[in-house]
Order: sequence, then C-alpha cells, then structure tokens
Amino acid sequence: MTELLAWRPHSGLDYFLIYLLPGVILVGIFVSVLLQERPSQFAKSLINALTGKKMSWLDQAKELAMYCLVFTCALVGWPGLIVFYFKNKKREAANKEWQERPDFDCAPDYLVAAVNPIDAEIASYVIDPLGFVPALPFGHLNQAWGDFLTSVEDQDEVWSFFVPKGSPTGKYQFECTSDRRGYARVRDGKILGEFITESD
Amino acid sequence: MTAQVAERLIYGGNEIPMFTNPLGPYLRACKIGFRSPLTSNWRGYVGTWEVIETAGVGRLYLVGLRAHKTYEEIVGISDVFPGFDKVFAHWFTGEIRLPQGAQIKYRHMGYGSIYEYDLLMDFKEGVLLGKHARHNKVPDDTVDPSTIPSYLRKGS
Repeated sequence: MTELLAWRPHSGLDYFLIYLLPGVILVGIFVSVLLQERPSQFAKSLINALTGKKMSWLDQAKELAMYCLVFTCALVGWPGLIVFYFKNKKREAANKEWQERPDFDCAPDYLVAAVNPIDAEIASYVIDPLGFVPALPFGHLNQAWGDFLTSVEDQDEVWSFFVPKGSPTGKYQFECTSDRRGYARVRDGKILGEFITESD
Repeated sequence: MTAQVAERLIYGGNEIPMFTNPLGPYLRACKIGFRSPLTSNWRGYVGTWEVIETAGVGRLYLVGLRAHKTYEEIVGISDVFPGFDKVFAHWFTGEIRLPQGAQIKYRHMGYGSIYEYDLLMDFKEGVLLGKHARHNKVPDDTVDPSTIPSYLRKGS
C-alpha cells in the first residue's frame, strides 16, 4: 500500500494511464447501466417474434464493434462527455422551467395602460336588448373576473391589453386568429395572470 | 385527431353546421371543462347558436347546449348559465365559418375538411359586423417524392 502511495508518474505512458483512469470509471458505470437495462429473455423473444428475424452473427459483431467504439471514445474523450453531461443537465432544467411557465396570450408588448379595476368594471357592462346577459360587470364573465381580482395582490397592477389579429401569442407563439382584449395582472413588468374579455 | 362534430347555427330558418366554437373562450375563462363522449367530440359538447337581429343589429346567441358533464350525464344551457335559457355571446370576437355545398376534401382532423364554399361571419363582442362567402378550391396535397427522405420510402 505504501509502495502504491509512494508511486509517482515518470514517463508519458504513466501520465496517459492516469488520464485514462476517469474514463475507465465512466466505462464501468456505462457497463453497469447497460447490464441493468438489458432486455429480459422474454423481451428478447418478443422482439424476435415481432421483427420476425433472429440476430445473425454479423449483427452481433456489428453491435460488439459499436460498443467497442463507444467505450474507446468514452475512455479517451471523457472530459468531453462530462462537459456534455452538465450542458445537458442545464438544458433539461431550462426546458423544465419553460414547460412549467404559464401560457398567457398577453405579453408585455401588448400591455396598453394601467387601469383601476373599479373603472374597468364601470366600462364593462354589456348591453343586450333581449336581456340575455346578467346586469353584472363583464356580463357572463363576471365569475371569471371575480377570480381574476381575487388573485391580484397589493404589489400587483392591473393593465388592459390588446393583442391584434395575426400577432404571435403564448408560449408557442401561435398566430392570433382574432383580436384579443382583456386585463393582465402585472408585477415588475412581468405578466402573472390574465382575464380575457374578447377572443375567438 | 378525428374529424370533429360541428356546432350548429340556426340561419335563414335552417340549422347548418358551424366550424367554430364560440363557447370555447367562455369555458376557458371560467375554467369549465366537459367530458369527451366520443373521439369525434373532444370538446365534450355541441352548442346550437342563432344570430338574432334586433333593431337592425345581429347578435350571436347560444340557444341550445348538450354538454357531457360525465359520460352519461348531459347538461344544458341553464346548468352552465344558471337563470338563462339563451345566452348572448358577448365574449366572442372573431370569425365563424359555416361550410356550404359539397365536401371537396375530407380531412380526418378537427374542422379540416374543405367544402365548396365557406360563409364567414365577423363578430365583435358578439355583434355581427359583416358576412361574406369564400369559394374554395381542391387543395393541391401532392407531395414531391424527391423531398421524402429515403428511410421513409416504401421498400427502402
């Protein structure tokens, strides 16, 4: 043990072997994962039954060659793999954050003006000569308006917004098929909620 | 996606299919959802609409609704809009599409099928602004085989 601890690299080959060591660990991890995830005998027979052909010796040789190539790459190019792993982790986290972001039609570009909710209510009564609308702010949308107001906190502002037809909207930036109007809950320039009064 | 069952519009004394869902924005705003009873009705309801003219102004009204609260339980307008048997669709701004004439192209997707004509009605907050017809042609759906990747070609 003391001999091993006292050992110091002398030649270029010694340094190269030290460099390969993390690669060997990485390959070991790969192999253990592959062994854990290899298909069971049942799955293999199912695949054979579905594809209708058995793996020939040539296919097996190709697979072996492929694994050898992958392991050699991992052995030599392990720093690249580590960089790729962390970059991928970062990309996955960013993607997850984007997926969890709420999908609003309104964007900061479409905000028109900060409004007082009471003024918005006064201007919102719907006129229907046949009387098929409740005499409440925003008519049939009154309940949705109430829910929107409940979500507004002290530090929020209510802004009116207008999205012209044809503009890109939402997370997926789909083209808006009609004009859209409504009110947004805004904090520090960020949209936190919306109430749409007109859309298709 | 399967071709979807159309909404209905009472127009000129007839009930005609309508390829627009004006109830959608209301349901989204109020966070109301229905159960799909069939693959041809993912939204879970079929509404019947009517443009009623008062003092020369046409307005869009929901006059009938069959919505699946569950697979078996069907609810109507007064369940979704308590106290109302007709509803003025004041939240709707946009165009409704009413297919007319023969079907010239069937598409197994949403309201994707194409008919000879489309009668288009423009609404602003449920009020009819105007209408016009559009003549449709058979779309050229042919695909240039050279643009298909080799691995997708038959026999490759």
